[in-house]
Amino acid sequence: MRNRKAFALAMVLWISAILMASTIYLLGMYKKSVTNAQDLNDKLVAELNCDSYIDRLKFYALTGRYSQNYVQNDLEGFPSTLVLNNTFKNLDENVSIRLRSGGQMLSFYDSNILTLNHLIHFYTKDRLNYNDPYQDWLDLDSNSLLNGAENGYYFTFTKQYSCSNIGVIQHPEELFLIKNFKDIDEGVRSEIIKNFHFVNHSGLNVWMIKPKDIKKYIIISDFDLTQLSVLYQNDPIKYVYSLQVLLAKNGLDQASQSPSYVIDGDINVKYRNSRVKKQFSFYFQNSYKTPYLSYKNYLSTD
Amino acid sequence: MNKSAFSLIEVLVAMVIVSLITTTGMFSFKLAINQIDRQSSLSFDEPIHFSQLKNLFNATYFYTEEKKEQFTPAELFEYKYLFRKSENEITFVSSAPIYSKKLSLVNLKIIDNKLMYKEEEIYNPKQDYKKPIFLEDTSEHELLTDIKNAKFTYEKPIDLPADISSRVPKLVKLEFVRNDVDFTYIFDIKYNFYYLKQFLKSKRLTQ
Repeated sequence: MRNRKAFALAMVLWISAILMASTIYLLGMYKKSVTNAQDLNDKLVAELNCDSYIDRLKFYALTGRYSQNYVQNDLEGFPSTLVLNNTFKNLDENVSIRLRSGGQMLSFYDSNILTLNHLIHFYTKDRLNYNDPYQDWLDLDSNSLLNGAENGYYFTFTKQYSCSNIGVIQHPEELFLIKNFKDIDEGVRSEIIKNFHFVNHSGLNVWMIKPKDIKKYIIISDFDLTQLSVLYQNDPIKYVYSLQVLLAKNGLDQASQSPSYVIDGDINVKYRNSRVKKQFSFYFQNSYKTPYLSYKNYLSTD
Repeated sequence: MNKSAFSLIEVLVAMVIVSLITTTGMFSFKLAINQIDRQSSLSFDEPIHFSQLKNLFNATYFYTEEKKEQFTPAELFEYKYLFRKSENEITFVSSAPIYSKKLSLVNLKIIDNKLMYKEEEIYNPKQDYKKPIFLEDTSEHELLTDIKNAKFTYEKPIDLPADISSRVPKLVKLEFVRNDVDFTYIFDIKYNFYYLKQFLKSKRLTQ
């Protein structure tokens, strides 16, 4: 009798243990499922909020009134004035944006041999000639410059290709098909793509560099840099003019300022535990009649 | 013997019955959870894929492909932009592809009640950048499933010359039926090539 009772007790305990284990397993499964769904939901809401803000910001930028380094507009959820000073501004506790203007960037014409080599060397830390292959890539003839390369060079590769020969490159990534450029490491490539903007402007490719990166390109005293930073915040056009003077001293004499056809920016959106960060560029119609801000316009209103 | 209490045997029988019921309940619960997972992932898929497609079309890149042996500036001037479209398929170049971060040739194809997607980087060393194509090892991904009566339709820009408007549309519409609900996705394509036209025109005149 005692044995039977002991057996029954053991069975009760086993079954209880199994039931408890099953309950814990189910709770775990339920919790994981709920957490996943919640995370996915948060991420999705953050993504959609971010896209929505970019769309509204596009409307704000394209219909706004511009003056110096700010744009004004009336749109719900946005302040009446947004300053294009490349610093983050909180729209609310979950959204922050940063805007900068093409007019605040510095332009280099690709025909300047010194400039092209100088700029690329800051990233690659080498002394290769990047200008000659670049010019050969663009020009219509088949005569190779001293350190350049025409089709004969590119035909030696396993996957052969030919020079563009159409006077312009179609996308910055095209650079890395060109002799010497093609040997640049992937990390350096992405830095060049990130920091350079290519805009087809007045028959030349203009390379615009973000002012905050200017210390990479020229030797500049702390005093000058401080003065430039103040101008950058308050008077972007004078900033670019001052920078041109400094660049000329460094031998980069063909650097110039270009009208604004582009507004570039970053947006950070947070929703619960999810964060989304995106970059965007708003391009205005590229016509001389429609840059929203240009040196000439600025001078006439000054 | 105290008859008012349950014997161990009675408790055992009760526990077995309870465990049977619980096991059945567990099985049903797991099925329900799986069903919820499936539905929630489906419901999340739609806005995610819509957002991906929207970015894909908004970032349409006016990329000129080589049509003849000699690629000339005149071809750029004549708007030989890579943009192939039909009712079931669309191929173009986008600077915001879904998987890569580089400029890519992308293709959307409606096949067997699914919307399939593939992309191939333009400046991939294996690729011919002047005549980009999908390579043999390009993988395809399902973007939308269980869709019926799906088709692409296109809307031309009204204020542009016919040779551009016939090639690159202003709006792309994707219509389909899913779970007996009609969907129409409308995507806007950004035009930004006025300058290129102006530049090449001036270049041609000066040569």
